[in-house]
Amino acid sequence: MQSCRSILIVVIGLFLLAPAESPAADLHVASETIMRGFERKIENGKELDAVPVYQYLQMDYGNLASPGLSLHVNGWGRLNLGDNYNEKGTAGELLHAYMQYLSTSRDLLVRVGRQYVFEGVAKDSLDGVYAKTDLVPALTISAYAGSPVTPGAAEGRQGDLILGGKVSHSRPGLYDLGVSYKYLADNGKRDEESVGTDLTLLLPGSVYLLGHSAYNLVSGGWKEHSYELRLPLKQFSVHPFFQHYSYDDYFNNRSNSANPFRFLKDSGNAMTVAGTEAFWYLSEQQEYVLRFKNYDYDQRFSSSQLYSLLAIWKWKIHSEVGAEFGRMQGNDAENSYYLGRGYFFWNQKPWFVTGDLMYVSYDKKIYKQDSSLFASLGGGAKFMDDAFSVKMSFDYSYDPYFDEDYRWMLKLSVPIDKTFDTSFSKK
Amino acid sequence: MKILKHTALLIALLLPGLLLACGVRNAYRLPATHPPLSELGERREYCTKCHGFKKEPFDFERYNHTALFTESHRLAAYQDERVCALCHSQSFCSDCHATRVELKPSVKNPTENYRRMQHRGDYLARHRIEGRMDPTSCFRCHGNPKSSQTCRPCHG
Repeated sequence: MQSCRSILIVVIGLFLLAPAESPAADLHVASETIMRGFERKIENGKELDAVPVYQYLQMDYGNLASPGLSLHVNGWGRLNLGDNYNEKGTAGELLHAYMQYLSTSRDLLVRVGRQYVFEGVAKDSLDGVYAKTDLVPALTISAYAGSPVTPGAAEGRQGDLILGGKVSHSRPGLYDLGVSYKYLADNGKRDEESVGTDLTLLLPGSVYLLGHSAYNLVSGGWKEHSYELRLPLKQFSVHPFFQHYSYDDYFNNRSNSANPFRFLKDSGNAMTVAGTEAFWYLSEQQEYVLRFKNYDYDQRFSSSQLYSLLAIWKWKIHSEVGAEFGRMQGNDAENSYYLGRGYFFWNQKPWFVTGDLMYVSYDKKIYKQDSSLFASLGGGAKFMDDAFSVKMSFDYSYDPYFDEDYRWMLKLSVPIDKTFDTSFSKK
Repeated sequence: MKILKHTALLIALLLPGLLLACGVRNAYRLPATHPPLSELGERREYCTKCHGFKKEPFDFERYNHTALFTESHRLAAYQDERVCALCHSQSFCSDCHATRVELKPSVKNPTENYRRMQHRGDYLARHRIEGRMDPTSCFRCHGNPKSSQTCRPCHG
């Protein structure tokens, strides 16, 4: 928690010291207060009433819709109003707190502070610096360095380091090709080191090839190859895909990760997933989707298949009815189920109503139950010219883990958008 | 010494790109933000509704939000996260991609059922099966020590 406070102080201080580029500054604040209610049965069979309250707070200030400086903060906290939930009475996390600079020509982007970096092989949260530039035409270069947030504070953060970057070359109408690199050390020990490629290749007939490959420099093997073709055929769009994962190279066996991942790391297994997603756009209002996936393994399991059919009818934005039927045909009954789902969302500004029904039938009983049912009814409205909104939902389910489960949720959202004249305050 | 090695590797990655870039001019720059979605009318989830199928100066077709986009957007997002950032702030992405959040996305936004958010309904039972079928899909989000806090109470 002390490190979160330090990050906030440093980032806000930097922002205040930086010279203003624009005489106006935008402020966007989004507050979400979520109250949930549900029963929990603990080890001795005793039932507890949990009523956790969550507060999410997002704040963005500065040049939000134009180049310049801006400040971005987001975090959440939880307080238990009922019985204890999730071991501790309170919890929270600073998700990001960074200052951003975007140059007037939009050639250079710099972020300083706690942020999420999403660059090829990197999908990490870090306290540090990130920069991305298009200064050289057709070439995008990014780099980042800092202390990773993910290893956790149990062993301290001394010696923790994350750094990397990505180089992308683009030829509009032909290809985008990126090469990325990431190094992550936990307490001075090399935990991860990867290189990867990202590709978009435009082929004749408006056919796309999208792909990603990643190589583990620590284990010396390919972690992943994921490639997908996108074939437009009039009202249809067909997306055949191929993915291959080597478990020894994909998973990590660091000590503070979850057990299944550490086990899989040394399993010697590999998985190949191949299949197709087919979209049929019958009209502006109707879409049908067929999905097929085949899973093949080098060891442990024989092949399995996933089939789903999805139908969606929309009559306006965010007003739709959908139905889904799916089958997971696992290698045996223990890994097989049927799934059916129907839902609707009816948007009639300023209010809306939603409903969701999901039924799953398991081929082999799980804890003496061979099926589960989930039903949800919700609704909400916006008040005072969208100054705040209220959403409610009630859920019912029975499943192998809960006999009769009732849950409710109340969400209050307050967005604030203001523009300030800063020509006097920052000179 | 290690930092020097990594810096040298980064420079080695950058140099070929710089050479490739020679001779190319007038590259397109993405705007700072997209106009607010609420002003765009119906069927705005398809970029091509407004931008068409033009490949130049920038090809938005890859980013069309199809019915399965929530489950399969990663290959498109890998191309350039700035395209996502035109409409989505980091806060939006944090609902799923954050290092640690207690509320799974479908619980935080239960009424937004059209988004097909992960783990809807009775996922506790289904994850036994889907986790066995494709554990890489678990690891992608729960693979780091902070986000695996969801898994450890049962799995250790």
